[in-house]
Amino acid sequence: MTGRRRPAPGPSQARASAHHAQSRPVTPFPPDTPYLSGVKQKGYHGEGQGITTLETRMTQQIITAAKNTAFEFRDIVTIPRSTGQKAETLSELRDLIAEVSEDCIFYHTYGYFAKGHILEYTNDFAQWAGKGLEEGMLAEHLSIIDAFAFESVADLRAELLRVIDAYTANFPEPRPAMPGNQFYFKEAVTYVFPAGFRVMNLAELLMALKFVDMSSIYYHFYEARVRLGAGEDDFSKWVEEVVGGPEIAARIRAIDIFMHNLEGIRELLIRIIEEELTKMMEVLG
Amino acid sequence: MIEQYAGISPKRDLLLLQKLGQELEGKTFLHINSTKAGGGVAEILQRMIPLLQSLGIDARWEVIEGDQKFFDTTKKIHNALQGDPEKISEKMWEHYYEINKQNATKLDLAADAVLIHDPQPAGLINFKPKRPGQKWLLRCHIDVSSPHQSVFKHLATFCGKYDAAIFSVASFAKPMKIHEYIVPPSIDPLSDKNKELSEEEIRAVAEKYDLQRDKPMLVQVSRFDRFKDPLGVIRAYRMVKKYNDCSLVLAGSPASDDPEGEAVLAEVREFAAGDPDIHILLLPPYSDQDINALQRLATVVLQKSLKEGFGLTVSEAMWKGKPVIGGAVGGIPLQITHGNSGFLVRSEEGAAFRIRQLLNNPGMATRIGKAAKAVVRDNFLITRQIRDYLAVWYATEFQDQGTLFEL
Repeated sequence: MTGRRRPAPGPSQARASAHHAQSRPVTPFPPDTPYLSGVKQKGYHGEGQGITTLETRMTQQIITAAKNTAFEFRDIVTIPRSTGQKAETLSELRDLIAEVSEDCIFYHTYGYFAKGHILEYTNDFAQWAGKGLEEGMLAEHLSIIDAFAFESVADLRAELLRVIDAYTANFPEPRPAMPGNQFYFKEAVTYVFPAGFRVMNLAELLMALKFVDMSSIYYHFYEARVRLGAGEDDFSKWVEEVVGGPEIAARIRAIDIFMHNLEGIRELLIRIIEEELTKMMEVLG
Repeated sequence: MIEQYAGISPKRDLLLLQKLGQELEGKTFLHINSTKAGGGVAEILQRMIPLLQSLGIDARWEVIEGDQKFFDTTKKIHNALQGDPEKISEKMWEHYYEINKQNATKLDLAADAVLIHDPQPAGLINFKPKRPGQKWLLRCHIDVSSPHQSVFKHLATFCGKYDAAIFSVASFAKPMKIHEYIVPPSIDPLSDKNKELSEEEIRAVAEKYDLQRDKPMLVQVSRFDRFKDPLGVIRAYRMVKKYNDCSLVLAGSPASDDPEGEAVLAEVREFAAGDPDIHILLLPPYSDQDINALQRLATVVLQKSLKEGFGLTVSEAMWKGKPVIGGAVGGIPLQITHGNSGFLVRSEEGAAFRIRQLLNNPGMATRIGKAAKAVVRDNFLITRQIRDYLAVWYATEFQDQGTLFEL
């Protein structure tokens, strides 16, 4: 992997179309990593169909899956870039949301979850409406927007504008933000690279989850939804397609991604896998 | 060398440093500033250059030379960028360019990437050698959120020639036609000021300054400057003292470039007179390990600034797992998330209230201190800053290839 430069499409290109199942431009792993879309071609689904008991599934997991189905953790680092644009009032925020780059919208919505700590709202625009402008109701309206439910960044941008326009149609323009509390529009350059952890089965996944960097959790759980679309994340996809654990995958997919910080997501994943492994261990021979 | 940071800095930062080091191996990376010693920039460069070299990058550091007239002018430029109404005459600008031109001839500017630190050597871009593919990056460490317009506009006429600019905080950046990256400053966890100390070393410093450890200790480490509000800190301490017995340590040195420094120190001494629990410590230069120990002796650390640049002393104390109460100014809110990794205050009363909260809730102080250390580990260590410099260089080198890089 070292010394290889594989320029990837910029977020706006890649992510804007990422939800179109037929044309996903970014795969979760580069072609030479162990676990990728080739899993299906190698027939792991086929083998999985033959496994009917918890006992045999357990055996599959403990003995380990084939080498080329390992889950390789990746880390993600973003370096923010200022657009040089800032908003002091709601109308300035609205106008700039309408014109800034898709990378910028991406940074303030999807990228929001990369923050280690959870704030009161669920994207930077809502956070600023609530804390900078002290417009609690607008913050709530912006906060309920599910960025991951949109087909493209353009659609998400349209929804942000619709919510702000609906608010300003009903309420007077709020006072400007206090000096030093303006909204600064940013975008980012992103680096994705192997985290140095490769796991072969659920037990190893459980162990790795306890130690991986928070940025790995963000990459595989949040960022994956943009790459894979349709509420998918790398963990549930691997568990379902390789390990053969549809119930575990379903439990992972059922996590409300908006209601936890990254540490909370880590704890939930650990709890789910631990519980499922415990169940398997208790099956009588 | 990077191995020294294993187990201290986040592994992800070290991994990316290694990856970028491999990608940029053998390339030359030249840093230029205006002083070899003194100040945060020189401190970081002293540590960064060998670290970059250990990654396989041919890193060098050059310092520009100039006469008193030049440095008087650049001091005025510096102040004007921070908002002071300075007047830079046409003659002063001419001299600024002349000195930069002389340095461009004297210095070896042959490098794949040149990172210029602050305005003093920024004019070198006007005299750079023609070298295809060479990248010039401008690092601005100064708070330019409200600059004096005429000086800023003058600098902007040639700053656009750089390939990219780097600011510490988003609010410092201005609309420009080049990419502007946000790279906050950092602390070195292995330096004398931040390294782990033994109990004996800490005790020795307590004895040296005659500090009793029989009651909670409030500590503010900063130069004696009105913007650090030392009198406000004493007033807050007195409000606390009515309810909770504690001592206060104000440690720092008079600001050498501030003619008011001596006067402020005298005022502080007079205001504190008669209270044996207030300790005013005038620290000589090179007291880094003493500062380290003082921060570790603290129960609560204060940085009650009224105006601040980035305020890295906050990160220094947070790195030691201390709950910090900081003024909600400058870069302090970027380091402290209120109620989570410290407290932000806007008044003496606010400071007193938060001190009392922490003194009465040791569990809360421990939780906040732990969160504070995690924040610094994740965001404000030198390895992250070096990582960012390489990432900016790499992104500038391959800027035609998008904004997402898989290594």
